[in-house]
Amino acid sequence: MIEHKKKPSLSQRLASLSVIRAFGSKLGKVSGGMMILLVLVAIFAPWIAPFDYASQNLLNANVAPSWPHLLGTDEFGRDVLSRLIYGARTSLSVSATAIVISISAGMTLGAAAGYFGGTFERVVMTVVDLTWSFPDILIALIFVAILGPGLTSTMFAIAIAYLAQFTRLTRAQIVRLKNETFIEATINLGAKPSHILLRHLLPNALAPVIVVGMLAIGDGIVLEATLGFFGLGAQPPTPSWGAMMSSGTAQLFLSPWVIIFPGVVVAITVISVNLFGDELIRALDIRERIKED
Amino acid sequence: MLPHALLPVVTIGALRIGWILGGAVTVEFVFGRPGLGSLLIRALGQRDYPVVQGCLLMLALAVMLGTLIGDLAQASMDPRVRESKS
Repeated sequence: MIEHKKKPSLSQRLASLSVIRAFGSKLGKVSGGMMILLVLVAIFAPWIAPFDYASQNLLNANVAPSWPHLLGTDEFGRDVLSRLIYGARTSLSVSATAIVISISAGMTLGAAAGYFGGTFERVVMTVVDLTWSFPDILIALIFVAILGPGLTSTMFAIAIAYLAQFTRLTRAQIVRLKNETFIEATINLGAKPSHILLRHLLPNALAPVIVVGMLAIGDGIVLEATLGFFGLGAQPPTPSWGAMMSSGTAQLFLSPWVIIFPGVVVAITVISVNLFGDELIRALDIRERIKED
Repeated sequence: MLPHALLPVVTIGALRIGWILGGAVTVEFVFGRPGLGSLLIRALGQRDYPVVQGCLLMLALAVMLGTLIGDLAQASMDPRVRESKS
């Protein structure tokens, strides 16, 4: 990221203003508030959770929601609410980190491909389109298979699954901006390619990428839950929403609360992330720029 | 009227064939149906790479065939595509 000493770049100022503007509507307030709440719950998990997420109590296995286990217990007698709260940590951090990796790599590749063009662009875009033609869950599965199960490989798998999206979007922005008058003027003033890319092209391409990244965090949470569901993500006893649902399928009719509550939490999280992303698009007024690719 | 409205539907539908197969991975796993998806997951769990490669090859072929069928269907419906190709 480029740091301007005197004043923030236009798109940075725009983004910071628009985040506040996205809170303006009722939908933005509800979805944004929900997201902030989830992040706070994830950060303060040890203080909020009523029980330890890993402590088993086989005498209290499969207890229906009641006091003191507000959302019931699973097949090992672990408190579902506590596991959900700690699971927020896993899901949110894995998904957010993966998207940050994906954005950094995607923007670098896309900017280089869009700016330099030629054979390099063709090779990069062919490889990227290759990953784009498969469903994201398949790409993620393949990479977890190569790297081995675990949270780190889940992170990289999600990052690779969404790489194509960011590369294509950045490239489209760069190609569009490259022929604008102010870039021509900068070139004629004798600026080096690195200066043009870092100072003029990337800051202007940032806003749509950040919004798409925001929406991708929602998809990343679902993907993380799916990988956890297959047993390829978080390894026990680390709680993850997907892994909790997976253990709940065995006793779907016996104790449905084990599978219903993680599902509800995933749904609420993804819906609020997507709604807030939509509000952000509206506030930034960049719907056309996102659609053009 | 209908052929005109149908064109984007055919395009998207053809592109979605690969995605449907990918989604089937989850459905097959959840409901324990034998199929390409559950085979893939099982092979991944056992580190049986030749089987994984075979599954992915079949999925890639399905994506390619789906796209091809979509293109052909579009050519048969849209004279503009037909004329420009010949």
